[in-house]
Amino acid sequence: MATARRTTAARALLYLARTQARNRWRWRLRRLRQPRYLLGGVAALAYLGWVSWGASAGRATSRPAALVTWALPLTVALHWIGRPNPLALAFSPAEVHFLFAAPVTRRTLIHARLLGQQAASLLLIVVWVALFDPVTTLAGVVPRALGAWVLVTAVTLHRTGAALSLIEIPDAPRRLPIARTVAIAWCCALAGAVVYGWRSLGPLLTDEWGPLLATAWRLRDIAELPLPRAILTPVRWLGAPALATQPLAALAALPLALAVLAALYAWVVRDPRPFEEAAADATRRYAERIAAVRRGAFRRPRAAEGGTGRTSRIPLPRGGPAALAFAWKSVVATARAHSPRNLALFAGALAVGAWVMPLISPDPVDAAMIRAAFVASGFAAAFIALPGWFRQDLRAELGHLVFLKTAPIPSRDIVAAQTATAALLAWFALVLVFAVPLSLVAMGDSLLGFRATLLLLAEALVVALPVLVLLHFTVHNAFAIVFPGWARVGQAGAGGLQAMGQAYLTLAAVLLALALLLALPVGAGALAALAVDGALALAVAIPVAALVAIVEWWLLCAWLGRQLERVEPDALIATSR
Amino acid sequence: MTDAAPPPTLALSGVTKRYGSVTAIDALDLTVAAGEVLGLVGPNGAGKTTTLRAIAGIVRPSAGRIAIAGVDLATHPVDAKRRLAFIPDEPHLFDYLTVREHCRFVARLYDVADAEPRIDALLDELELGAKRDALPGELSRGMKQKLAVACALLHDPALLVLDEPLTGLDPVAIRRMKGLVRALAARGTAVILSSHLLTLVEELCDRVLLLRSGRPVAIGSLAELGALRPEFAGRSLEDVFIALVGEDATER
Repeated sequence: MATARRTTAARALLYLARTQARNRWRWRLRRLRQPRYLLGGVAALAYLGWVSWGASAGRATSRPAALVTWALPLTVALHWIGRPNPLALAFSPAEVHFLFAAPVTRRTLIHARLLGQQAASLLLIVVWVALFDPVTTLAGVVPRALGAWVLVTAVTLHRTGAALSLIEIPDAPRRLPIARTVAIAWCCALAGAVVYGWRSLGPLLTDEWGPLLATAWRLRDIAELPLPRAILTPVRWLGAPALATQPLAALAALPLALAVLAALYAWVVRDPRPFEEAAADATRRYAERIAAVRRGAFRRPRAAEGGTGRTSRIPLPRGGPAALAFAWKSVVATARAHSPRNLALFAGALAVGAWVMPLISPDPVDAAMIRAAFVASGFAAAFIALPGWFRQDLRAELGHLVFLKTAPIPSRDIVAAQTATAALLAWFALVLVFAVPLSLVAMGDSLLGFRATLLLLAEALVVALPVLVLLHFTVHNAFAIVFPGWARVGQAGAGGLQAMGQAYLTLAAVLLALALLLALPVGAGALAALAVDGALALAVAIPVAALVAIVEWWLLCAWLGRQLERVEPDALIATSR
Repeated sequence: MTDAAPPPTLALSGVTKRYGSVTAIDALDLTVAAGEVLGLVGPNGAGKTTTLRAIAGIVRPSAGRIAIAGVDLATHPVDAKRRLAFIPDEPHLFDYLTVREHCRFVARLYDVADAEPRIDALLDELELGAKRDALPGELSRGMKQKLAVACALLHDPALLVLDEPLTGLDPVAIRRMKGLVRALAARGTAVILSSHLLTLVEELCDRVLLLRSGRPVAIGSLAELGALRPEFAGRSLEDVFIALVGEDATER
């Protein structure tokens, strides 16, 4: 009876997985009939090919063995130390609807969860193969792809098992924390072995590599010492097939890796606690978080205390233009959607990175160059990605187009208020995050000297950057209004390679448009610099360029306002599918 | 010697659900017989959804016992759940299963014999026949709700648990849904439904359970509720609800 029940449930789950996968691929292939998805697909494939080719051309002979060797224990420690992550138990809302009230065992629910995670694992495996096994034979790829699958599945299983062990389950008896004790004891033993190994290898030599790289090489050497090697045995077994350089070696290493995986699996499904309620709650919270991120909010709105509404500390001025209300709304929404803690963490990580990265090289000049390159690349990446994170502007309002179109305010003013507020907030965040790293770069500048570099940086941050961010945000909003089908790729159901390629194409078009828009201000700034010449050239050029850019922005707002009046709400819905 | 009476389709005894210091359901006793339709009403936060989710086995009671057709939900969850169907207020469907595939999946899950003709009949009955190959993204809110109903009825449950069943349905679908609930009850299915639409509850339900802050305020048929106080005689459920639960509670 119980066996028949298990078979029925297993067949149902396999039917679900198989049919969903087939339909997903069919749907994604069918939508290639639309040019935007076809172009997106081509762009994504070209990008993956380029990454694969790049990896192939510059591939090192050894795989990232040291990284895997130390990343896995770190993952174990993170899963067991501190608070459990209930989101590890999040199912899809449809799984909760159909499976939780169905006549299936808890073990079957865990199987459903693990099966559902295989799609995400597949993506990771494709990335692994693209990076480490590009353009090779199928026989060469399969064993290592299997190895990558073992590695990814082991991490997933471990995360689920840790969450099941640690999660607080209402009204369920507490269990002895045996698994947690074992895991933490293992981590402590490993930490002790690392300290012992470090000391036994003598002082760190930083003449050739710099402290950072020397530490990395030291950790690699420690992993080969007898005691750490013995403690790391399960990690080595798990990683061996994925890290093998030869397909036959990968095949030979598979049985041991599968044995560790089987042990993990047996532990996870052995006797699940009644986790349904916690899982249903985690599912709801995860769905809310995803919805919030799609709206551009990076934290879930917290429930108001005692059911009363929360009052914003940011006052709405009584007087002034009506469009000010839009600006106020964006500020309030941003304050609720973004956590200052996340911003502080990001700023802290960057500052630490700017301090640590130069330790790669023992040469001070090289170190300064490395720091400048690190900060510059981080700044460029943050500047490009900022409108994707910070979406409390017109793009967030396009879903309420009916309201926007009926508001008794000129559309130009709405566009201007929304883009200016978002840009100002984003600029403020950018300055906060990069103030320390940029100061560190200025300190190391031997060309102009610390004071001159700092002054120039301050002028660029205060005068040029806000205008640059403003134009960047306005171009993103312009794309959302004029080409909603291209810009709104974050919608549910729009995933896949084609959507990824579409996002890249959109980003490229936005950056091109931004570059074109900047041509005139840069030209004006250059002329001003030529007119002044000498030490003050740059100091004069920046405000002139900023002024011309603001005039451009205002004209752009007027044009976008007219476009906004022409957009039909139904058209936005249709093109976002 | 007489045969023992069959157990009620749903029996709750002393069911309590606490979230920290908040008591969502407080020592609830309840039985629903085969063929009976019970309406669950109460202001927001009264514990209706928690009660339904506890009956569906999604929420675990802090105390008390729930039995479905005599089978204890805590000790024999799989056997108990085989006898029930739960339709939440918001139908969550699989993005990449068509209408018919949803039904096939559920049929496999519940091991429904000879499922195909039953699926076709149910889809036709719920006017989803023309949409059988559509994905959820191509369905309206009402159609999604109908699909959830079709999936729930496939295995012929002894107990149907409905949370706000009419949300998003058009007038024709509402009438059809009401007819369906009546027909199911006539066939012997016990139905428990929660709704804020008191006229619907009045029209459909044999008995009504009024909840407030997790506690049962009153239970009985409309006539029995009318007999609770002299001023209730001949009054509508809405009047009784306002009088018993209080206008202040609905505003919380």
